[in-house]
Amino acid sequence: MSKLLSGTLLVAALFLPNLAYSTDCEDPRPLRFAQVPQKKADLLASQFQPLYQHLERVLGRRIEVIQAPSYSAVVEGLLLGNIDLADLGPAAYAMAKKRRANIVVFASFAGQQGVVFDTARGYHSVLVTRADKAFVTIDKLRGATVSLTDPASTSGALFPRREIARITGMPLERYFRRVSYAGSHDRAIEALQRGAVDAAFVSSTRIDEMIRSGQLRRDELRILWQSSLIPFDPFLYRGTLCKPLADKIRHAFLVDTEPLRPLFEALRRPGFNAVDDDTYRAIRDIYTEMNP
Amino acid sequence: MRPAALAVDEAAAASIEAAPDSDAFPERSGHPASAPQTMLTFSAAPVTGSAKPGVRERAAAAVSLIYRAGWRMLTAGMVLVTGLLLVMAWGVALNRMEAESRLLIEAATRQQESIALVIAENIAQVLDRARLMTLAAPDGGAIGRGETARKLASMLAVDSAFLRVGLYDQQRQRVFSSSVTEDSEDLKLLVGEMLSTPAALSGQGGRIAPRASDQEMAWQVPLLFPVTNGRGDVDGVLVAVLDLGYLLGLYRNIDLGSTGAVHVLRGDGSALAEMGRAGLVVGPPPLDLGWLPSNNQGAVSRIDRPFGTNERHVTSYHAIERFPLVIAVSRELGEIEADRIIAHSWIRRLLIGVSIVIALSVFWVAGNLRRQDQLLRSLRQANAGNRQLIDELESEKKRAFQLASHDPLCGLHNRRMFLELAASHLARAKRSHKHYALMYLDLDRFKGINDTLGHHVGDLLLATISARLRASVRESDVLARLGGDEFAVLLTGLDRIEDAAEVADKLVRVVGEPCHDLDGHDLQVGASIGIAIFPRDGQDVDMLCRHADAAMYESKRGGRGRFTFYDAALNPAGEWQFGVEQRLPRAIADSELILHFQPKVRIADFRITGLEALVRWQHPEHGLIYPKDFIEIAENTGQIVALGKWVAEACCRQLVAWRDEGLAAPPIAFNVSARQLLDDHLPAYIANLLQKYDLDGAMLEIEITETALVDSIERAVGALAALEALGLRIALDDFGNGFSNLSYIRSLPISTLKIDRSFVNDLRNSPDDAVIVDSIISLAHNLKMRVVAEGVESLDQIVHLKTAGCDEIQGYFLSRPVPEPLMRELIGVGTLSPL
Repeated sequence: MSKLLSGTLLVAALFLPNLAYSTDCEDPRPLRFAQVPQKKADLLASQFQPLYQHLERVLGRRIEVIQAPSYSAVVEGLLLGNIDLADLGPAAYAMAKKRRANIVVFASFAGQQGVVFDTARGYHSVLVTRADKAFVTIDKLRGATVSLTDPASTSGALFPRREIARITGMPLERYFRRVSYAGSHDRAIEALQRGAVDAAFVSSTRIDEMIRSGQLRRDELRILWQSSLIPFDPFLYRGTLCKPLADKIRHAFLVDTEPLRPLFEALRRPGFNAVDDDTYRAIRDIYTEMNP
Repeated sequence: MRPAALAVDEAAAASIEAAPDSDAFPERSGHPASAPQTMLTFSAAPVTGSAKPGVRERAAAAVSLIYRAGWRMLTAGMVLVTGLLLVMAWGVALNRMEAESRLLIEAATRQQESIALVIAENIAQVLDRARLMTLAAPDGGAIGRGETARKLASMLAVDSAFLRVGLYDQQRQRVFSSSVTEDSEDLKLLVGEMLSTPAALSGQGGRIAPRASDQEMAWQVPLLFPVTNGRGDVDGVLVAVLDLGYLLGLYRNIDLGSTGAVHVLRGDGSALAEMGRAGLVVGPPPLDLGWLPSNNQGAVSRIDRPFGTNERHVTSYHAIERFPLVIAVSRELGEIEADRIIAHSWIRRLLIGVSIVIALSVFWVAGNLRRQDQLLRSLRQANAGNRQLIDELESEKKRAFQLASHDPLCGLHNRRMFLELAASHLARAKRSHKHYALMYLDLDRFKGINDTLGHHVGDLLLATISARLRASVRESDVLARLGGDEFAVLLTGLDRIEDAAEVADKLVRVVGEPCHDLDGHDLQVGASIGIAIFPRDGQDVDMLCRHADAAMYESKRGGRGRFTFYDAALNPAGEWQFGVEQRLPRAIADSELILHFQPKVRIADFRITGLEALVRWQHPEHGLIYPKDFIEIAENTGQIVALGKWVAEACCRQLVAWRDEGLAAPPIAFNVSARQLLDDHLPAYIANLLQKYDLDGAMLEIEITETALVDSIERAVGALAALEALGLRIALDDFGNGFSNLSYIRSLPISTLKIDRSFVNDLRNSPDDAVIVDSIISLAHNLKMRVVAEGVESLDQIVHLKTAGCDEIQGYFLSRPVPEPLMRELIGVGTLSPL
């Protein structure tokens, strides 16, 4: 037991040498970057590789990419200070803000017309079923099985839960026979494709992207419902980061974007937009309303 | 069962069945000889049956019992064997399928158990990491002091399984939390509970707090671990919030098929999470874990319905060490067995199909057996009925035949039967060349007896006479009563015609014997018999009957109690013979004599090339008298010369008469006796006649016998030479019989040889005679003589003679001697074809 104890202490001593003490600004090296698992981790990593490299160059430090198992894990990481820079969903942002996280939202992807959805100024939560199944309306889905994404996902949990309650007058968990969390939008669509669930709530962005990449046929899915516009995912950093570092980050995202071309191409985005907390005011209100 | 009885029955049946066949044939084909045999066969069956009447019925019953039992047993056996085979096939198949299924489930179970083990181990490690944190919690003896926060934060930073860490001290105050979060009241209660319970009692493991109510916190499972000091007291509680997303990330790639799922259960069976293909389900329905031993180590598997659905699942449970968590890996039994079920349902369908086919076949075969058995039985019944019917018909037919063919009074054949039998005998006679004689026999004065003494006596008489007749003929002869007092006899296979006369004489005699005590009367009747000889008097039965009948009337006319040949030449001379000597000269003078003519036919084209004139005496009292009855007398008395002259002149007259009529008559030959030939006046007389009637000598031919030459050959030569000089041709009659020396025949002016009828008669019977005939013919031809065959009576003889090279033929077969009017007609026709 004492051996285990000493080993653990040793390991603990190696990490975060100055976290708890410093009330001054932080200049973490490496910079820890986390993204909510909207997609499969390997896809995410490969798409964002230009950003990692760009940041490493611009910030002059190694970027440590943290693979979070859930949206909550990123939020908790931010709260704990384990994560410095993050790509959250709007709802996760609202969640973090509600828990008084010291974070500064500064950028989000600019919108562009999608292949199916109008995603110029935001995206939608979309309820889809397989086109070859008989679920043609939400009514038909009563008692069916449905897949969400992550409890903290905006389009894959927050909006569906809110809207289904509004449309059907009963909580999502009661309206559907069985509610499962796929973990990511990709997996939700996969579960739908395989017939593991009857319907899925996913982000319209992911549908567009999957259709573009050929993972999904356009006529494969039937869209039963789509939510009002949701602002794009926010990029944010902890408020305790030193200003020069924060400025460099903003610069890398918003000004010096040429090296990010491959990322924009891959995601069919024109670039990043500068955003602030106001952009997500509505979402935060909704979140608060849902989680008083 | 009873083989002896069976054998008897079969033997009887065989003889009965054989009888109709052997019986029907001979009657149709008219072989009466087989009839007695038939009757014997007939009587055999009833004898067997009547000898052992009970045995036969019993045997029949036994046979039918065997048949029936056989059918039943056969069907039962077949059903049994087929059933056994089917049961075996099903047994083997089901057993095999069961075994396969078991293997499959075992494999699946093993797989699930190992997955459960891996997951349990994994979670145990996660929990161990949390326990490590509890070790880091006390710093310097006090909970949450000093470096604790930093250590916990850094440990959390590298552990993605936990979202948050919190620490409560002994006063239930939260002394550390990795993030700003309000813990629920339930959690705080549980913390208090843990703090007030000694570590020994709370177990070495931890507790699971209820989840937060927020849906966004759905994946967050707070786990509580006691923080103990060295003495074993609980100094504080570590709250580590497990991120179910971590578990989902770990296990979502485990492929358990579409129905596979991993449940994370609390110790009481309530479910924290379920991970399947669809993803993670939070707080699914609980599972019953009451049966699971609390201290169970390792995996346990069950096949049941743990989810309250109808589907049976194979579920493998694995408890996690030192923590109230159980991992359940489950999969629907149906899915595990899906492939096998498809394969097995195919096998099952095949088996069912085969079974149905076999069952139907058995049913069909059994039905057929039964039907066949019924058919067999009804056939046997029908056969028995038929046999009886056939028996009845046969006896009926036999009786009818008996009636139809036999005279019931005398037991003799009737007319119809007689005609049939006679016809069949004659058909054979044509090949045998023996003589057959058909006799008609009529009782004299029978009508008178019948009329005066009554039919009764008449019938008795007929029966008596019949018996005598039967006794007087051979078995091979055919005796029949034609009706009334008329009988017919066919004498068969006689060597000599004279035998017929003997039999006839005997019959006349036996009929003529007195019949005593015919119902008190002694009677005596005579018989008149007419005889026709086959083939000379007729080639068929009809002709023979007519001629025999005619001859019989001749007998009646001649004075009854006698027999007469139709061929009068055969009739013996009677007592009237004695008047011939005195009567003959007057007969010659008064022209009581007439000529009959028999044609000679050229064998090449059957043209009539000559006639032989034969003298007949039309006696005013005795009717027609034939030469053999008066020629001898005429010779003896010297009247032969006058007779000869009459014949010669009669021939001339006839020739002139035909010539005057314009008929192209052929030459006429007449017999010249030795006595005549030696008469010096003969040539002159003939010459006179020729002159008187203005005839060519060639129109006459004389026939002499060898005996005529014997007495004085020199004088005969002279006379013959003189006659030849007149243009007459000379034939040597009855050649072959005598002692003719060819050397002197050569010296005679003979132009024609007539082969004696005896050789011709025996042509087919005696190879010697055939040789003699052949050599006579070739000899005569060498001597430049023509050859005439006499006494030709059958076509066979003609064929032989023609082959041998004979020139002309003469005989009954072509024409018997006929009176002038008939002869004239024949001459008019010119040919006499035998065909």
